[in-house]
Amino acid sequence: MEVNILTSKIEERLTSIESKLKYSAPLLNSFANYCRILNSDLFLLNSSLRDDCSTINRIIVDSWLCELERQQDVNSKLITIIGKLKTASKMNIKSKILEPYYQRISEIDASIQDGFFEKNSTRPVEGIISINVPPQIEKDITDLEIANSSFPIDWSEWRQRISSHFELVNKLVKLFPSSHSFGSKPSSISILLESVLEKIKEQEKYEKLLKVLTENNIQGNHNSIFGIDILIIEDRLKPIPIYGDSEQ
Amino acid sequence: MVDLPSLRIDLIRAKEMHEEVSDFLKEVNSDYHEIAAKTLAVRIEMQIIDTINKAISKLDIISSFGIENMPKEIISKWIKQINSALAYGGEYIDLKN
Repeated sequence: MEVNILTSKIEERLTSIESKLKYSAPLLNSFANYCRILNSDLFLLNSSLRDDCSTINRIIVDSWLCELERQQDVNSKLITIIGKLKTASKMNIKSKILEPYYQRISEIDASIQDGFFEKNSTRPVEGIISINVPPQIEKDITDLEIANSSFPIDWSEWRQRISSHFELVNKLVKLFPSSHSFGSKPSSISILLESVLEKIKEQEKYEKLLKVLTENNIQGNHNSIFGIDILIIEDRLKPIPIYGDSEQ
Repeated sequence: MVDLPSLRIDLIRAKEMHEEVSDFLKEVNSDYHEIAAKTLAVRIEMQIIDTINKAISKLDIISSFGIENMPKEIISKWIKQINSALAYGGEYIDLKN
């Protein structure tokens, strides 16, 4: 009788851990996809702006992507372990060989038992997303994924694209506490994105001013007055980042 | 904070004043002064009135574009040029007194 109660409690715990792992898997995947999109945009901007901020930002996004892929790997291993342990438990197999596997999942179990998952607690564990991610963030990521299928045609559209990234990353900054293994990465990305955004805004200003100065006005004398300014603006205006074969 | 409307008023006043002087010089027809006066009128037109006209055009672009939408490098260069046009051609001289 006691053995049966223990077995059923273990199964209950394993199911609970499995559900948390399965909740985290698509989120980790979604964040990793987002990092790839952001990295691709930063790559294009970096090749056009050739500035330090987008270079460093690419490095940080890349490092976050590595961390996410590592966590995805841990998550997938733990899901496999849980599956095997559930089968062993159902078959009432109690072997010392299984002990290391129970130890591996004990940390996640402890966190779940602490109730962190329901209360947005900040105790991060490898392989799971240790917070409740609001559906809006998932929607924002999907929107950016969809937006990524179209290409910005001018600096104004690039500003809108990077502003969307900036807003999303700021939401992620609030989401992940500093104790989380992702901790400093979203905030570093946010700081650098802000600098990149400033550079894009300046490019957008050059782009719009050049358009105004070069289009024919009623007096038709713009070129004689603004000739040197047009040359300066053309020199400062960076080429609009475009998608080539190598980036696809 | 740059007061664009007041800068524009100052430039237009300066332009009107120099145009008045230029017109006066063009009308000089004494044998002794005519060439010097007309040369001076052309100089005023090319070096002062033209500079003020360019400054007014730049001011109009800044006003229509919005100072906050101007690239930093260009706006600082243009404001310097506008101030320079005012400094070298903008001092009001009352010809009637």
